[in-house]
Amino acid sequence: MNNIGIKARVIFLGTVPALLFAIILIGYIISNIFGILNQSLVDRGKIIATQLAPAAEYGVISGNRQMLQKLVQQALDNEQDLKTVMVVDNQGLVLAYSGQAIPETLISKIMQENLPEYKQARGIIFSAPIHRSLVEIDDFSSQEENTQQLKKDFSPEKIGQIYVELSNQGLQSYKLVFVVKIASIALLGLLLSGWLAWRIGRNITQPIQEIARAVNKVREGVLSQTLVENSSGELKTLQKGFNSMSASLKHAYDVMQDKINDATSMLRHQAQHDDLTGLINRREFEVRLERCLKTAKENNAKHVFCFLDLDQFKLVNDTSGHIAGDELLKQVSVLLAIRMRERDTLARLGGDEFGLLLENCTQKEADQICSAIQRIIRDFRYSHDDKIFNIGVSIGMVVIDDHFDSVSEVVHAADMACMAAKKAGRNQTVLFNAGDVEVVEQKNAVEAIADITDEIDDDQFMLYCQAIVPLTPNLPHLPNMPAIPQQHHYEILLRKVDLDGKIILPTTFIPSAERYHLMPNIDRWVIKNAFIAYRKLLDIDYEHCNYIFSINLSGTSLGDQSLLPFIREQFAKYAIPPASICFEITETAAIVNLKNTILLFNSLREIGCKFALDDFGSGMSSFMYLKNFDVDYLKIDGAFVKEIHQNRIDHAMVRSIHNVAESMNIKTVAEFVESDAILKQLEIIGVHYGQGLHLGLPITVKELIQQYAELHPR
Amino acid sequence: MWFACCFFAVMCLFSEVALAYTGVTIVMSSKTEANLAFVEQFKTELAGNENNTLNLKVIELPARKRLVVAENSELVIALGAKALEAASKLSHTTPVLAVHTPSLAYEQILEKSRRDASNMSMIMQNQPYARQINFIQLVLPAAKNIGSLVNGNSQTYAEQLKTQADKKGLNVQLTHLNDPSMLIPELKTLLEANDALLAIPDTAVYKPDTAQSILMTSYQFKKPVLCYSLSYAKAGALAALYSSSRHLAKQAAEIAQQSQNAESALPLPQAPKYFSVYVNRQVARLLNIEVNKDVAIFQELIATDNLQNE
Repeated sequence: MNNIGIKARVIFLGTVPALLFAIILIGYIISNIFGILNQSLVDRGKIIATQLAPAAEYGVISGNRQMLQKLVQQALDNEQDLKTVMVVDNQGLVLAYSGQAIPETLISKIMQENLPEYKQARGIIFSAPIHRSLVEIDDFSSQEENTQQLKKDFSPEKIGQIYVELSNQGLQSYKLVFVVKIASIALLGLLLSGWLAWRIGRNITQPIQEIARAVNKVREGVLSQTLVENSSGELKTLQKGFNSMSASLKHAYDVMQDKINDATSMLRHQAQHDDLTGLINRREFEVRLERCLKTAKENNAKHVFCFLDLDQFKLVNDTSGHIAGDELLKQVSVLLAIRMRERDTLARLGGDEFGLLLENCTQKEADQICSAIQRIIRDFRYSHDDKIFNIGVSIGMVVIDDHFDSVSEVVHAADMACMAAKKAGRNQTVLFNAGDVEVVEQKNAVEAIADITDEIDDDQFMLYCQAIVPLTPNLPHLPNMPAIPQQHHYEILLRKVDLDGKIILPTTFIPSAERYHLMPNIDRWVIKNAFIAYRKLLDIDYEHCNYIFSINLSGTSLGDQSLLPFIREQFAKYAIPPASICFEITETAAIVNLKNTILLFNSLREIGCKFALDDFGSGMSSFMYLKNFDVDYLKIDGAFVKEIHQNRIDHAMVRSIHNVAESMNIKTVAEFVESDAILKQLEIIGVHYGQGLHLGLPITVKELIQQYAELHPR
Repeated sequence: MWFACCFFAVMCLFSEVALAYTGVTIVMSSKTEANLAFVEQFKTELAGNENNTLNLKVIELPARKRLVVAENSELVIALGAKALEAASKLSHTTPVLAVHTPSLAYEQILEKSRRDASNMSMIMQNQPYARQINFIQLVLPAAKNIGSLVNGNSQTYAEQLKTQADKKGLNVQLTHLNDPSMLIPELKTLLEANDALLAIPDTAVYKPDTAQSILMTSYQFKKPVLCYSLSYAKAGALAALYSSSRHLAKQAAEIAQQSQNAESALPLPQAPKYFSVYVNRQVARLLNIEVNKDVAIFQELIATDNLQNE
């Protein structure tokens, strides 16, 4: 009922009362007429029986069956619906019958119960007694006592019974026909009333349906829908109201649509552009790159893709904070953007990486553009908080042609070219060429770490060690440590074993490993295996084991909160004396992760570990930060050491570093001691330890254990 | 005390004398139409006679006490057997005339009351034999054999009739019906052998519950029934020779006046003097019988009666 339309409701309204009335009327008529018909059947049966009874009197008295048979047959022939006429005497003997005989059991039942009528499924049996009738034959009968007595006690003598069975089938058929006719008339009446309701209701339904249609149109989004205000009264109010609402809705919709369009444009812009610099972002850039790749393949067009990576950006970010780094990126973006041609696409791909898509551009033009960019960047001075930074840009250039199958291949190639440019000394442009040595190396480096996962297999890496040799006989005592006999100090070095069993140096795979955040896992592997090795030494001869293992920790590991618990767990697991372990951290890594480094240093020093600051001097403000770190060793950057015997500045640098360290009671270690001349200079300065090919080649940890075992047989 | 007793006795005697009546008293068992017609006709007859000095009293039987009034009446007319039985108990000096009473019942009451013909008489129900035979022959001139069912009540009359009829060349066959259930078979046998059935007053045979059967059976045999009452004839008999209450009242009035004037004993029981004839023309048509007009038959019977009386 809730889902039907107005037209159906009006028809419903017009027909239901008529239907109810028809049902009541038909019910009443049928009930009455059926009652009358039933009664008339009963009356008729009774009349036939009671009329036949006296007619059969003489036949019964005289026993004249022939006469009775004629009587019943005549009755059966003349009366419609009469099924049976039967005459029995008062003994129950059937004297005559016509039609279907009534079973004796039924007769005896009717006689016993003295039933005037007995209803059956298909008819009614009526019975009437046959009495001996009295005829007045004496004129003075009342004077005769016998006669008087006879009349007084008159109870007609029953001499027999007549049974009449009247079929109700005819009546039933008549009833059925009657019901069908009545129902037909009622149905016709209903249809008529429905039609009338529809005709009359159309004046109401039509305007409402128009309104409903208009509402549906509005629901479908056609807001310009209006109605002709041709009705009166409430309907006109509805029409006017609808038109008014429709107009308001359209206005609101238009305003909303404008807002949506604006918001969509903004979202689209945000989806395609970098928030910080306003340049195209990586997603949109890749879309355009894809398009270019397609035209290159289909139209043999030439495009150039340049992968730009700022040099020294990390330094700005680390030293002056992210805000300074972000500001730098913005300024660089503006600098680059204003140099772009109309068809060029400059995008920020992430961090300090930019992409430059030069469509329909020759390599020569691209070279010129790259040179211009490098010049602009090199000439650019970025100042922040009274600090002035010089930055550069390394560019990997790729000519997009049909050799590339996908955008990722193009990006990968440019990335590799860019890394090759960085490796070649930064602020350079390297054109990707699949056969170039730099590119191949870079490719190898990436491939070298391809098999490193979270769970590092033991056969993927090997541990080497290189002796750190005392250069002066009287070494100062280590802080917090008693003077002990000469200790064997080794730096643990890491080598990767590739699938062919070839040894790969860390310089090849470490940058890639750092880039892909694999260093924390590698560091853990090194710690664990160095501890295992040391355990073996202890197990061989605990008494004489006076080794110190220096283990390098990468900058990314310093930011790992779970590293300290891991180291403690390893100490507990292998029962290594903490004083036997020295952790080396590069100066740059320590500065970048200053807070974490200090926390780690403090925690590990509590249990007795040593620390060394590696590659000291390479950073810009080395001395300034030195006071922040409580270290045992300073490892002077090899860049100052390897030409110390030829370069006075390097000599001065080493000497000053050593002097500062000594004044802080920190022992110095010189790396890259590759010749006797270098050694002598170091000894003159007084550097405490030396490490290099001249002092001892790296050997495998396994060999070290073996040598120790040989020296200390059980 | 003695005086008082004598006075009471005289008063009682005076009272009885005062109750004595010298007129005619009609005693009826109930006020039936026939009885009332009788009384009315009786009064008419008395009024029509200039010499009449008789008073008339009518008593209904249940008022037994009043029957004393009838004592010493000039004549007590009892209508019906029951009234006759009551009247018969009156003083023998009070003559009683029985009307509407079957002969057999009259005989029994007479004997029981120890009265004699001098103070008790009757007007019989049965028609005189000659008139009855004459009537049969007038209605059914061609009939030679007449059958009749009889019982103890009517046997004497029937046998006398049969004797008289024989003399007139009419054969009357009498069948005694002792078992009522044998009515139809006996009737059939009788009808098969005769031309008509003569019904004579006999309450054991001709009664309301047998009338239909007798009439239907005779009709089945296409044989007419001759009867003794107008009712029977109207019920389906061919013709009736009957005396109505008015006929009997007229005859009774004559007897009353005769007995007053002559101061003699009552006449002997006598047959009905006055009568009527009725022919059911419908039955005659159905049986295809040509019957003379009622009046003609009646006049013929009167003429024959007069001839015989002469």
